[in-house]
Order: sequence, then C-alpha cells, then structure tokens
Amino acid sequence: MAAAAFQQYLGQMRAGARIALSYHFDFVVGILTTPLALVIYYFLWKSIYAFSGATVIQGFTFNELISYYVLSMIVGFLTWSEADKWIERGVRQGSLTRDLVKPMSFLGQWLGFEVGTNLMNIVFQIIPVFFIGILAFGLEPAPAHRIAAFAASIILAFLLYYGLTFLNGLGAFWLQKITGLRRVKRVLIGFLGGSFIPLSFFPPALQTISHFLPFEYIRFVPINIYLGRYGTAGMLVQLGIQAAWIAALYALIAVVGRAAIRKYARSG
Amino acid sequence: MAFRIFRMAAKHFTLTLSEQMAYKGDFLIKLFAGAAADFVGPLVAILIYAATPGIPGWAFEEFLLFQGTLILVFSLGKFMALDFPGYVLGAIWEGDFDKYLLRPYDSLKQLLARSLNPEALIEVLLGAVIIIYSFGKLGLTMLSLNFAYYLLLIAAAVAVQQAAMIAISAMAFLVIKSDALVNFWHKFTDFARYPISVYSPGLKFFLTFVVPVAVSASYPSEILLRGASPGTMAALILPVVLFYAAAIGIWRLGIRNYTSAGG
Repeated sequence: MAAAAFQQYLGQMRAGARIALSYHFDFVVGILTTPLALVIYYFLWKSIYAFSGATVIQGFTFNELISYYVLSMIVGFLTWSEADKWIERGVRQGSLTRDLVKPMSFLGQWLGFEVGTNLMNIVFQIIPVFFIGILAFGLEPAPAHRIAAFAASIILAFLLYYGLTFLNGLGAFWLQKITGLRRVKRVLIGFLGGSFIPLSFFPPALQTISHFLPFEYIRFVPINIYLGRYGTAGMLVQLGIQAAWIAALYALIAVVGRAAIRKYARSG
Repeated sequence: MAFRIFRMAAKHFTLTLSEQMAYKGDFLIKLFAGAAADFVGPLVAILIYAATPGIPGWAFEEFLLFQGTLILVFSLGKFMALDFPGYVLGAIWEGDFDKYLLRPYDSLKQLLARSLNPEALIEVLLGAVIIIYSFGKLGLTMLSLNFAYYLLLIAAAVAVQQAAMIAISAMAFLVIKSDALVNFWHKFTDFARYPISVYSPGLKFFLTFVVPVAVSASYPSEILLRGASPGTMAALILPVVLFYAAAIGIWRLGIRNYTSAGG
C-alpha cells in the first residue's frame, strides 16, 4: 500500500522533472541571467563599502555580503514553487476535478510535482550558481556539519514556501483569479525573507517582528546557517522554529483546504 | 491614420479594463501588489542610507528622486509595452496573427494599441508622487532646461522599454518560444536600478551606448540635478534612436519570416 502510494508521488515528481526539462531554453536563459543579479550587487556594494571606508557593515564584510546574495539565489532556486499558479489554472479551466479524484492527496500531488521541478533546478541552476559563486564571487565552501544543517534548513524552507504557495493557491476557490495574491506573496517573501537586503539592515523593532513571521525562515535563516552565524545550538533552534511553522501552516491548510473543496463541490 | 490608431488604443484600453474588472478582487489586489513591489526599491534605499553613507555621489533625497524616476519609467514601459509580447505570442500560437496583417493598418501599431495595461497607471502615480516629494526636498523647479532634458530622457527611456518588447516579440517569428527572453530582459534592466556610476567603465559604456538602459533613471536624474550640455544629450539620445530602429528592423524581418498558421 505504502509502496503504491510512493510510486504515485514518484510519478508526480517525474512529471515535474519532465516539465522542467521541456523548458530547456528557459534554463539556458536562466543560467545566463543568474550572474547578472550578482554582478549588480557586487558593483553596488563594492562602491558603498569603498565610500564608507568600513570593512564591516551591519555585521557583514563585503565578501560575506556577496556570499549572502549567492546563497540567496541558491536557496531561492531550491525553494521555488508555483503551486498557486497551477491551482488557479485548475479552478478556472475546470481541470481541478480530475486532480481531486486522483487517489492521492491534493496537497501531495503538487508537492511531488514541485519536488521534481526543483530537483532539475539543482542540475541546471544551483550547481552553476554555486561554482560561479566560488570562482567569481568568493563564496567559501562551508564545513560538513554546516552543509548538513543548511541542507536540512533548505528542505524545511521549501516545505514552508510550498505551504504558503499552496495556501495562496486555495484563494482561487473564492477569487477565481489570484494574479494579485501571487504577486503579494512574492513581494512579502522577497522583502521580509531578506532577498533584496539582509534583515540585519532592518531597524531592530522590525527585526523582532520579523522573527514572529514565517518569511525569514524561508531564505534568511538557511543562508545564515550556511554562513555560520548561529552556532550549533542556534542552528538547532532555527531548524526547530522552521519545523514549528510548517506544522502550524499545514494545520491551517487542512482547515482552509476542506472549506475550499466544499465550496468547489457546492458550486460545481 | 494616427488618430484611428489612438482611437483603437482607447477602445482596447476600455475593453482591457472591463476584462480586468470582471475579477474585481484580483484587480484591486494586483494594483496594491504592483505599488508594493515598486515601493521595495525606495525601502531598500532607506535601509541602505540608514546603515551606510549611501551610494557615492548621491545624497538620500537625490537617490529617492532616482527611485521615483525609475518607477515612473518602468511603469510607463509596463503601461505601453509589457503585455505586447503576450499578445503577439498568443496571436501566433492561436493562428490569429493573420488578421493583423490583413487589416489596412500597420500590424505593429495595431498590436501596440492592443496591449495597453491599465493596472500600471497606479504605479505611474506612485512614481510621480515620489518625484514630486523629492522635488520639494531638493528645491528643484520645473521651469528649467534641465527639467526639459529630464522629460526628454524619460521619453527615451520608455522608448527603450518598448523597443526591447518589440524586438523580443519579433523573435517569436524566428524561434517561436521567446517568452524566456522577456524574463532575461527584466533581469537585465535590473542594471538600471542603481546609478551608472557604481559600475565598471566597460559596463558603463555598454549600458549607455549598446543597450541603453542607463537612460532609465541614472542619466535623467543626474542631468536634472547637475545639468548637461546639448552634446551630452545628443550622445545619450542617439543610442536610443539606434536601439529603437534596430527593434523595428527585427520586427520587419520577423514579419517577412512569418509563415502563417499553416506554415
């Protein structure tokens, strides 16, 4: 029984991987595009550090800050999910019924699919970015125990990002079109997750508020685990908070998901 | 002829607005999200200037003017051209493009008229508000030659955005799948998010004369603040004219290569 269920999810993963592979032209363009952002941050912060004369700004040396942006990209590629887009499409085009009658959980189907897509991202985007980071932007390989904690944190960050995306997608059951919600999600996670600038640059009050929101656990925390900013006990605490957020989020998804499907069934 | 195209654009604008208003909730959230996304730039600027002396050569209010200009230019570009590749690609994939060729109007103008994006107008407004705020803080006046140069460069910057969308859309006639190039262009225009002075000399040259995205905010703001000679203005506008002409050339080449739905 369990083996059969695993096969079903494996099938979803394969589908995700195939879809990702079919967009090989996008991948080539993606590989060309990725270093552009790093080049921009490199020159911007180089000029700011030179102008300020400081070697450390908000706890970051220049090399650490550039490494932060390299890692931010890697984490971004690994945690990417567009489940909300697929759910919206399913609701609007009516193909959702087919997904709902499959002998697998609705949440799990898209999870399997997105895992497959992101595994392809490792090959086509993460490995190139990692090497570009090491060779051109001074990213230093972390010791094994931090790499292990980083990997665990990324898996949790992905589940968190996926959960938020899925929850966002459920909005389509009420709104039909959720282009705006999807954009709000990207802006919130981008800014409060620390993609544009590390959260250490935020005012202390905002940093405190941010600890009580899920966004920094999607990007800022995994990056800082890699950079060794927490210590062993601190890393475990951060991983624990990520896990707690996942538990809370998936409990919420269960409640909202049931209401969404009831609404869908009623309206036909 | 020009009047008819404007009338066509106005009609399409109204229709697009009605289409979007069919999903009112989503439309309102989209307006809010667009403005919030634009506001990230000024927020990051505030954080940078709070923690450091900032970007060399740019006081905080000057950089705010830069950010307002950038929002204005990008949102005008979004208003006038962002949806253009979507309409062109859609028309090609659905075998609908022939109708644009059969009508007694230029296909490019028809499609440009078709692709106005109403939701960008709120972002235009946001950019204008930030610019007006910076004007007050910096004591700038609109009654100056620098301001006329500023407006001219903003028009040039919007033309660059439109030219890029035309060229990228024309690639659809040649390689069919060119939406990845739209993504590439958006990432490339990130170079315009910071003053040109932070980049290396080679990049400065490339972003000014080859793919002139530095005209988006860096040069207009700098010239408004510090002035420029007519020669400098000519040197900045000429690459834009050539860039636009190249885009039109690629479009014409694409149309010649178009083999219709059955091809």
